[in-house]
Amino acid sequence: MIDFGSQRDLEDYIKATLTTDDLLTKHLTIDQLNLTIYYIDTLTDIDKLNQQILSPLLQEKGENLLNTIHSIASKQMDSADQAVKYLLRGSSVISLEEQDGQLSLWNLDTGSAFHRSISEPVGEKIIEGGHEGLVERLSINLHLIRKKITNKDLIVRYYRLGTHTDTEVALVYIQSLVDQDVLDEVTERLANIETDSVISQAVLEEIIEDNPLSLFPMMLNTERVDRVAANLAEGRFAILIDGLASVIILPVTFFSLYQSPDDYNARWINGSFIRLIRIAGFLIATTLPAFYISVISFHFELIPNELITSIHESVQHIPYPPLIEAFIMELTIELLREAGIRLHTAIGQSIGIVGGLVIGDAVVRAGLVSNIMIIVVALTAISSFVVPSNELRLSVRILRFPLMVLSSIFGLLGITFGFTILLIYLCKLESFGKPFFYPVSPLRLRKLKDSLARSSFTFKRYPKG
Amino acid sequence: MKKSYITAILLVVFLLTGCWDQRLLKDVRLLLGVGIDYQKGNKVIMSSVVTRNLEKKPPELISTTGSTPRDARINLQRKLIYVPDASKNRIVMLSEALARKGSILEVLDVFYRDPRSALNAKIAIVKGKAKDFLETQSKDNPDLTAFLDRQIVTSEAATIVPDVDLQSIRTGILDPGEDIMMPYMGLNKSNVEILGGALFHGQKLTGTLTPGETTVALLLANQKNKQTTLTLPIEKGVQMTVNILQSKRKLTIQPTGQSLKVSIDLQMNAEAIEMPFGDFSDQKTVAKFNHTLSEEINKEADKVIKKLQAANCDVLGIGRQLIAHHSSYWNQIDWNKEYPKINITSSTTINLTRNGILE
Repeated sequence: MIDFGSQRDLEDYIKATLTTDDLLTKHLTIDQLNLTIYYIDTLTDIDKLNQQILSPLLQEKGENLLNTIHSIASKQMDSADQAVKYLLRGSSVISLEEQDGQLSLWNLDTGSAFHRSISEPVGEKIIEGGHEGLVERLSINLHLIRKKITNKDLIVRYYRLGTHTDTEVALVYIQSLVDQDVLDEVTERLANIETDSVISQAVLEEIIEDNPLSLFPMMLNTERVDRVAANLAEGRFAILIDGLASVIILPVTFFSLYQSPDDYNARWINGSFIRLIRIAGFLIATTLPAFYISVISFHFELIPNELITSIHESVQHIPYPPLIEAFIMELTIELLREAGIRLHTAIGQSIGIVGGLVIGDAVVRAGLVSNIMIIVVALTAISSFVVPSNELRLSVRILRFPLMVLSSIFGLLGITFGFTILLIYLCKLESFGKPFFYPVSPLRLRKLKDSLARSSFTFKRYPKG
Repeated sequence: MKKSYITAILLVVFLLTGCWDQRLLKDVRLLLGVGIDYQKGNKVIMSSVVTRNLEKKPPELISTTGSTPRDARINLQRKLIYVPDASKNRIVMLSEALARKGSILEVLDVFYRDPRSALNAKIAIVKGKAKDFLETQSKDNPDLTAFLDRQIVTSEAATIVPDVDLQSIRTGILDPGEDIMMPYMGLNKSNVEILGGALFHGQKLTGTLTPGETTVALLLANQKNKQTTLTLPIEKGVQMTVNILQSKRKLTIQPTGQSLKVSIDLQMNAEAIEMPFGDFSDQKTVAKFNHTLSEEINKEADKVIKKLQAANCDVLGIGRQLIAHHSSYWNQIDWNKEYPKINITSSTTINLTRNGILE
């Protein structure tokens, strides 16, 4: 038992520390014992407090009372500061003054837990298979993951981050599958975080990632339980943040960002086909507008004979150089995309119709943009939508602009230079000490069948690390 | 150090290329075909098929005169708002009269010297005037002037004309041991027609072959394309059409002292594609057919070889073989004078291996 002074001193101390109005206290005297219950009203489930704590206490006497407190309390605390901390997390604190004047502090778990029901994440829909999505409560998310992976090696490590927010963060991994070096690296980086607040995962990501200036996401964000479980089973780490439905997965490679749980729900030939289409989508999304610009402004001998007259006709009356023409259309598409996200679903659809059909048609009729450019931009936009990772989708959207500028200045040479630099950059990137562009660089031909394609489970063994 | 590298790379990239090389598709008028005629007083008439800057309008034909083809091209530019661009040019047509003057490389220099000019454009010799040829086409069917090259391409596939383009004829002309043959076209009333092959000696047009003869000449020169059909008399008043499936040519050259003996051995497997009667299941009949066909084709081949020698056109590439394998003989002689005189024998056999779905 620790001496906090008197019941009165403790109350003064707690009230001085927590000056908020929703801190409530209840003074009880049961069988000559003075009890004070502290709790923050807005964090506490009052029913729980009444049924599980107050009513059993009021029925007991003497020695039994102490036992009851022992059994219903989750923890005895040894300082008033600790009591304040637990109060803020939704617990109630009971201070008990025994007959000999000794004061003891007990933590009672009465936190209220409001959470939305488990539903499929809107941004990561799949056709069939599990439709469970994560929610904003850490404990529920951990529950969902543990239910998927029943393994004694599944480890959960808790961290408290953010000096202002004191957010609970959990690192989850399967001990027997992870690379020890990466584990050391991750735990060291998490332990050394000094930040004010952890409101979004981007804050945490930026602090722990290798290169915050990188164009490509070095971590995968997902709201899908099956995706988290699959990645854990491949020896990756998951970082869960309380209050966020998305999980950070690391370390990732470029190709793992292009994988979707759908690939593993389909037969392997179909899965491989879809995955190859996605990778082709990356090439189209980054280079197609640039390629078109350079062909139109430098190398139109590349256009097939049968097509040249119709393309010539369509570009004839465009007042702007192809780069500006492409920018007008790309800007329109980006605006439409953004408007579609921000608006209510019902209005969002009509925006799509107005934007896609009306603007697209009118812009060609007005002679601002050629219809071939509309095809190019539309194909580019569709190709960038197929990326299963939202983060990478944003990167791909941005990547094509420098290539477009290069191609308008240097033609195909510019694209070649730009793409070469991009490849060099991709090869150089590392995610927690693991090469980002693995297995292309360093080249592992045997691993390509599992990253570019999706080979059959018959030949597959889970890799270590 | 790192900075200076980056500056160096940027400098090189910016100096070697840049937007001043830009040539926007919307700022040019594409040249889709060119016809060149000779005009008295050492001038040329250039008839150019150029795309129009109006929507849904067929290409137009503009004729300009100049002292050289480049001069005529510059005169063309004066008639247009945008720059004419030859990078999508598909066909060059030279009039027979111009080709007979014997300096086609000078005329074609305008295409070779410009790095943007399309070297895979087809080339053809036109009977009469190229201008009339194009004008008739343009009047009757202006849309088709953009596709004149298709006719040559299809005829190439059927081994009716040699498979040549602007690039390949130049190497052929400049090779002392080889001569070229070009497609020969003309007008039949208002229809464009392939008239066969135009034979060249060096840069000079020296003779022509009919379509049938051209096919045989191409077989002798081992230039069989995808499809090759021959129609040969099989009996009195009866013709048989065969499609050559495989052909194997062996060229044997034996210089003995001052004289040269050349023999061409051509073996072909063929499929009967038209034959009104005859029992193909009977080995004897087939053997008889084979014999007759071989005899007929041999006659044809001898006639073609005579014509080639008369035109002094070494399209078989005998000179090339001499340079490679008998250089001492080659050095002694003047091939231009020797070729028409040499003794070329051919033995050609046709072997029917298929007879279609009828017995």
